[in-house]
Amino acid sequence: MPVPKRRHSHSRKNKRRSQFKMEPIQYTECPKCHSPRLPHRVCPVCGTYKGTLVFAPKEEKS
Amino acid sequence: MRHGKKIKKLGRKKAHRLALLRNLCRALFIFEKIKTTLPKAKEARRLAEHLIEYAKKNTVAAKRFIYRFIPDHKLVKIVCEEIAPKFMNRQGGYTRIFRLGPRLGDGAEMAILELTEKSEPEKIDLRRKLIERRALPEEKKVEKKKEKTKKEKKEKPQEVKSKSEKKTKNEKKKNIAKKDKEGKKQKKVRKK
Repeated sequence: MPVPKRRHSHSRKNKRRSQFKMEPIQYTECPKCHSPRLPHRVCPVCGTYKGTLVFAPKEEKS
Repeated sequence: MRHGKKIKKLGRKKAHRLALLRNLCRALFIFEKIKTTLPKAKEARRLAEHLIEYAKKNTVAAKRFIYRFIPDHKLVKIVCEEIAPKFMNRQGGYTRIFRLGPRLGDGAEMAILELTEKSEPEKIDLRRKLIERRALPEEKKVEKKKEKTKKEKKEKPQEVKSKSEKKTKNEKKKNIAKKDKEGKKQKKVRKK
């Protein structure tokens, strides 16, 4: 069995793990309703994509 | 040779995958707009566009080819005579996919797959009535009510019968059990 020859210091471990970072989700603005939207996706609020209505948005119950 | 020809397997065996794609295509030709996961939409598009390509020829051979994938003569007729003529001016790109973002629950990317040339909503409703074995939601309610009234009338006398039968059976069993017990008691008495 291969076994580690030397112990890794905390510093070394932490330096390695400094690269394990998450990137924030990139949102774009919907050109119609100006709400945040994932790029290349249909806007979940107004249901439009590139100016065409893909699905009718849900009506708010008041 | 199969080199470099890649198919998305969708986590299914061949038969299962084909059945899924056929069902998706069937739904697409009826509703002209369906919502599935992105990988399924992409694979269903391949088959759907292939079928439309055949439907544009509108020959008997083409219809039979389509029938292999959509085993429904009514729908094959619709595809060849209603849907395909709209695409005569196009060289491809019969369908369009919109991405919707991740699904709640499993985070699968959802998409809407639709035909680029659509019929009027009334026509689609008619198609549903013609092909779908189940009726539209409004009609369904009415039918259910009717069925319920019929069923109630039928079921009531039957239940009474079954209950009475059960009773007689139970009584018989009890009688047999009693007889057995009595017999055992008698034996015990004799031994004594």
